[in-house]
Amino acid sequence: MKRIRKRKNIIPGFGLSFGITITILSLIVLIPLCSLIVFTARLSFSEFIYTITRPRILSGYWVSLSTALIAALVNAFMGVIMAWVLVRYDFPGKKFIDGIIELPFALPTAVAGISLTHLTTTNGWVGKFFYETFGIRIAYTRLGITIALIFIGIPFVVRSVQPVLEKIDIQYEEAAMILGADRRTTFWKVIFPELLPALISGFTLAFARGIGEYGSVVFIAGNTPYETEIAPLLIMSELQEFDYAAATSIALVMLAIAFIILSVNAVAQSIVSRRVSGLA
Amino acid sequence: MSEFPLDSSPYTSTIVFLVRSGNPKGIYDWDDLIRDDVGVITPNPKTSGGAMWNYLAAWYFFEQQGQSDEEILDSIRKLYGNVVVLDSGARGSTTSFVENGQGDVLLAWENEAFLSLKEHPGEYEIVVPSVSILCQPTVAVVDEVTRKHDTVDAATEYLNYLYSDEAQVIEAENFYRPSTPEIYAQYVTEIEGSTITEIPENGKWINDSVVLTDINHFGGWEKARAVHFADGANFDSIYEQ
Repeated sequence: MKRIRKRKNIIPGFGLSFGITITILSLIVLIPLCSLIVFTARLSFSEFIYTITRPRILSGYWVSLSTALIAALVNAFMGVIMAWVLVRYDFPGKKFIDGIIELPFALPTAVAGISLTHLTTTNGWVGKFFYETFGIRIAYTRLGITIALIFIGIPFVVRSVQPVLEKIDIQYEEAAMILGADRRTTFWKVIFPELLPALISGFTLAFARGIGEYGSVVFIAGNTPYETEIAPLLIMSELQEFDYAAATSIALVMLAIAFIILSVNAVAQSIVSRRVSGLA
Repeated sequence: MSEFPLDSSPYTSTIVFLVRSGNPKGIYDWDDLIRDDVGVITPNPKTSGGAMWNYLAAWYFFEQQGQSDEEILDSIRKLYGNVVVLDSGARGSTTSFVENGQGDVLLAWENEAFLSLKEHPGEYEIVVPSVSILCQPTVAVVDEVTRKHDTVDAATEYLNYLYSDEAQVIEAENFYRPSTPEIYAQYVTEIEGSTITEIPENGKWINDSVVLTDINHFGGWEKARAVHFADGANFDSIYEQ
């Protein structure tokens, strides 16, 4: 048996770089997460179950999950269109628009929340129009929360899809056209499957971020219990009462939800990308 | 709590109503807040320490009306049922009421209410309810930190200064109720009535006719927290469905 020659890597030593990875991951991710479990462990199991299943808390999870899901779906749709426009067309100000897509990342979320609220209350520019024309209230409803989460989540989708779209060779499309596919078929059968893994990851990131978002949402939500009270706000109220165990219990459930979402994402991605590369 | 004089509160405040100019909904006292047509803005006492005073002041009013605990809870439930936006902090509530035009009445600290009056002349009025609560922002020297930085003397000196005549005047000019009786007396208004439409020209702004309860009435903070604000306590129960 001939020994397989080690491939030369730019960063020396798998052992060393892997060690650094594990150390950093432990220090800034795993240890804080473990402390979450330790804090929660102060409660007995039945206390824990009671804490996380109170109707008010359940409603908080539901508000956070449902608004984040809708926002992520909207973002998945709009994000692909935005990425498409940015990659496939040339127009004046393209660089500028490309830059401001990242603004939601850079802007302090509280600033975003306050300005969105200001725009969408029944007295704001946008809110007034919707209220007087359609009788729809935006700020202080779940719709308002969803809009804040769309704002927060849009860069995730655009920035995930954009590089993939840039790499798709235009020759695939030309080949499809020559083989007689119309534009719709070309998009759905040729381009979309290529985009799908990136789209799923962008969607998941936006969704996961939306569930935990606090800063921008508290201002626009109105925070009415059972209506627009999000789970992170409930964590804040527990902390205000110095009830750390209850706060971490709620947080632990959110962590579990995030974990499930990310796992589903990983599975979905591997299935899709295997199909795309023709392995399945 | 007793390291500095007067419960460590060099100045105090109270909870008043801020309404829109002309008081279109005719809001004069706490029982107007539970009317069906009134939208109230107040922060969530579970996330905002300052908002606990608002809640307790309302509780005291209904108690003074001779209501039983059950009835008081019912009134409080109606009051919070009228809350349009339950912001997480007092500044957020002021923004909702002043900048975003939500609700008919803002339950505010007196000094914040006067500041809104000063910044937006002619747009708002302060209504002083018949009863309210004495809000005591407390001061303290944080031993651990001051020892480490060797600033115990400076910090203590600063806090003592807050009780001096000079500082008491500055506090009164910024609409906090000074604790020195002589200086307090200089700022008591002679104008009758509970509605304040503008900052008095002679600078005398304190309405002395409002009956103030304080935290001792509720058995101190520890008890008040346990009875009203802890998980599953009174404040939570008004939202039970």
